[in-house]
Amino acid sequence: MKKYFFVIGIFAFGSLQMLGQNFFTRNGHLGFFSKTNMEDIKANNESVTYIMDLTSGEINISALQTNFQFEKALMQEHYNENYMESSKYPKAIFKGKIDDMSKVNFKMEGVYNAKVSGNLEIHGVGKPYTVDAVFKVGGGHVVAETNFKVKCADHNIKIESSLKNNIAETIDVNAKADLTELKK
Amino acid sequence: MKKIATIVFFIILLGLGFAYYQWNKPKKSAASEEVFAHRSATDLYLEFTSDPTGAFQIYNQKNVEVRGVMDSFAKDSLGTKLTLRTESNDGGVVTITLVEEMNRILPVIGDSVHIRGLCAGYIADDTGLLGGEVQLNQGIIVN
Repeated sequence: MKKYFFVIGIFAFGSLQMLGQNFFTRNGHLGFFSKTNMEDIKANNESVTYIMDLTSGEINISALQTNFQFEKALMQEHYNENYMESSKYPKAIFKGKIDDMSKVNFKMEGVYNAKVSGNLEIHGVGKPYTVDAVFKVGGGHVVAETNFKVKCADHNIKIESSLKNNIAETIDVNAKADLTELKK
Repeated sequence: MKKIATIVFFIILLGLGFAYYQWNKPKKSAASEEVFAHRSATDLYLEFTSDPTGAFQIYNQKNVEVRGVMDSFAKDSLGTKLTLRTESNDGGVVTITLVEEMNRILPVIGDSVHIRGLCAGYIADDTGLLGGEVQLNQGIIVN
C-alpha cells in the first residue's frame, strides 16, 4: 500500500512541477508547400522559436523569413524580395492559446488533440486563425504539431498574373516543435 | 535576312543561358561571400537589442564573422545549428546554422570559436523569459 502512495506521490509531484512551467525550443520547425500543376515549391525553417505556458496554454511562435530554405537559390530570392518583402517584414509571428485546456493534460503522458486560436502575422498583416493541434506529452517533452492552410491574399501577398499557375493561392503549412522545460 | 536570323538566334541562346544560370545558381553561403564585419557574439547581440530595425538594415544577409563560446548544438534536416552564449543579462544568444558538407569537425561545448554566417535577423523575446536570438545561416567554422 505504501508503495502505491509513493508512486502516486511521484506523479503528483511531477504534475505540480510541470504546472506553471514554460516549455520552449529555438529549433522548432515551420514548413510550407505550394502545389500547382506547373510546379511544387516547398521551404523549411528549422530555427523557429516556440514558447508555451503549460498553465495558461499560451503559445508564442516567431520565425525569420530569411531562414526559410528552398531547393533553389532563385526561389529563395523571389520569396524574400518579391513576396514576403523580408527586409520590411522580417518575421512571421503567431500568438495564441489552447482553446480548451481541459482537453490537454500536461500532467499525464499521452497524445491530446486540441484547437489553438490566435493571431498569425505574416507580411505585416495579422489574421485570426483556429487550427487543430496535437500535443504529445512524455519524457519531460511536449511535442506540438499542427497543419493548416494560409491564403496568400489574406496576408496581402501578391502573386503576379504570369506566375499564377506556378504558385498556389492557398499554401499548406506544417508546424512542429519538441519543447522542453525552460530553466531560468 | 540571314544576318538578322543569326543575331536573333544568338540573343535567344544568351537568354536561355542566362535563364539556366539563374535557375541553377548556387545558394549564397558564408564561404562564398566577402566578410562584412567581425563581431563578438555579445557585441552583435547588443547591437540588435538596442536597435533591432537599424541593426537588421545593416546586417541583413551580410556575412558576419562572430567569435564566442559555444553553448550548445542541435542537428536537424537543414544542418547543424550552433549556439553561442552572450554576456547580455537576458540570456540572449547568437545561433549559426552551418552548411553541413563544409563542416566535418565540430567544436565542443565550452570551446571558443570563430564562425561566419549570413545574418538572417533577430528574434526578440516578447515574453521576457528566454532572451532574444540573432540568427545566422549558411555558416562555416573559421576555427
